[in-house]
Parts: sequence; C-alpha cells; structure tokens
Amino acid sequence: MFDQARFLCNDAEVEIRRVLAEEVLVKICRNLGTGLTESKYIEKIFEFVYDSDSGVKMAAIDSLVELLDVLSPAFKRSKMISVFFDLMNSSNEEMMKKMSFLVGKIFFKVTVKRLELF
Amino acid sequence: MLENKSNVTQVETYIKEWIAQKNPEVRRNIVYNLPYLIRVFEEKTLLKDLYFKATRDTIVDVRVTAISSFHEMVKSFELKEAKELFRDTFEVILREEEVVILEKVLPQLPELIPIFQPSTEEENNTHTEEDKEKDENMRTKGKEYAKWRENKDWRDTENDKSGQVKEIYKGIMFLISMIRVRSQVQKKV
Repeated sequence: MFDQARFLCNDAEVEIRRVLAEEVLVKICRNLGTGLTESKYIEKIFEFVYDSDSGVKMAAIDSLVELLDVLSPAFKRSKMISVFFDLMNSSNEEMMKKMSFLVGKIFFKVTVKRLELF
Repeated sequence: MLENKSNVTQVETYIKEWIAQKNPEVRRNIVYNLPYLIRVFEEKTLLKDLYFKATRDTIVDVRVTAISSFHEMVKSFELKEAKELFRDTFEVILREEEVVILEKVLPQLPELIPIFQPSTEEENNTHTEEDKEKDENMRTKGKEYAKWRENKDWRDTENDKSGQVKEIYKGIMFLISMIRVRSQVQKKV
C-alpha cells in the first residue's frame, strides 16, 4: 500500500500530487518512523518541493517542516538545511511569504535538543 | 544557540532581506517570527534592531504584530539586559496612537512597567535627570495602574455589568496619560 502511494507521487494529476504532499506522505512517514522516512519517502517530498504546481510546492514545504520532528539530527544537518536555505534564497514573492512565515518554526525545530544542528 | 557561523550569517542575510521587502506581508511574517528566532540566535543585536525598526513600520499591521509580542521579546533576556536593550522600544510603544495597537499594549503593561522602572536606588542614581524624571512618572503611573487593577469597587455594575468596558476604557486612558506625561517631559528637555 505504501509503495502504491510512492507510485502515485508521479501522477500527472495535480490534485493527486497535492493531496499526497499535503496529507498522505506526512501520515505515512509519521507511522513508519525515522529510518524508512529518510531512506524511502522524504525524497518524494523533496521532489514535490520543486513541483511545477505552486499548490503542491507549498504543501510539500509545510510537510517538510512537520516532518522535522521525525528526522534524525544527522539527516537534518546533511540534507534538510540545504533544502531550506535553497527555498529561502528564492526571490519569488509567494515563496518569500511562505519562508518568512516558517523561518522561526524551522530553526526552532532544527536547533532543539542541545541545538546540535548548527 | 546557533553555533555554525556561516549558517548563522546566511540566516541573518535572509532575515535582513525579508524585513526590507516592500511587501508588508513578508515584513509582518518575519516580525511574527522574531520572538522564536531571538531564542536561538546567540548574537541578538541584529534581531533587536530589526524589532525596533518594526515597531516604527509605516504599516499598522506590521506594528501590531511586533508590539503584540513585545513582552515575549523582553522575557527572552535577563532583566538588566532587557531593560537596556528595549528601553527605546518601550518609549516608542508608549507613544503609539493607533487604538488597535493600544489594545495590544494594554494587557502587557502589568508585566512591562516593573521591568522598565528603576528597581534600586543605586540604579536610579546612575541615570540622568531626564531619565529620573521619566522613571518617576512611570513609577507613579505604574503604582496607579496596579492600584486600579486591585480595586474592583469603581465598577459601575448598573450600566456595565461585567465591568469589562470600563476596565478597557480606563486602561486606555491610563496609557494615554502616560504618553502625555512623556511628551511633556520631552518638550521641557
């Protein structure tokens, strides 16, 4: 069933990708835990972050922030920070609104527990 | 705290860019996040300066967002440090004339007044005459306000059964009187 969800991530229908980015993948990852999320599913959310549809993209960013609780400090350090920096670097106004709204939450989550990330 | 210097510099660059944006929504968003960010940044001067700037933003909505979290910002610091860093900001906030902002300031006053008035005689002696006069006014008003909050007898239960309207009105009047006292002190100087 989970593989089916991964397969659907490549669907041409925007609405399907949006629902996956917004709800389904976060729920799957929360249930599967850190290991499988990092090895199999987070890559799909990374793809959605760079999706051509703005709705999918924004939903995926929210999901990435939500999943910071699930990911290991090492993974956050090696992968997540660069993705967030890349998004923050955007000059797109919609993206600036999104990232300026999320920045506190992101750095609060990545620096929690003795602030080992930075 | 954030420890990796290059990452910190990068985040600071983004924050500076966002706060300088023409779009007020971006400015408001980053101002909303300042109380979170100030907790994780070791070097707090930049964020404090940006916060001060936000309390003087031309857009009311940005000022409302900034001033709503003033007590949170102040509480992120030790008492003495908070007093030094945010005294100017407090002055600016007290001069606000927008009712929507006054409504945000009012509930914070019981926490803020004790912070920004001199706590010891020694500390009072280190201030200039101007500071002393300001502090004395603030101390007097602070006492009046505290007394007013304790005293429930003034409520006119016939016309305002919950006493809520009168409480808000009286609080705003107190704030306005504080602003007037401040302006008079400034004129004298």
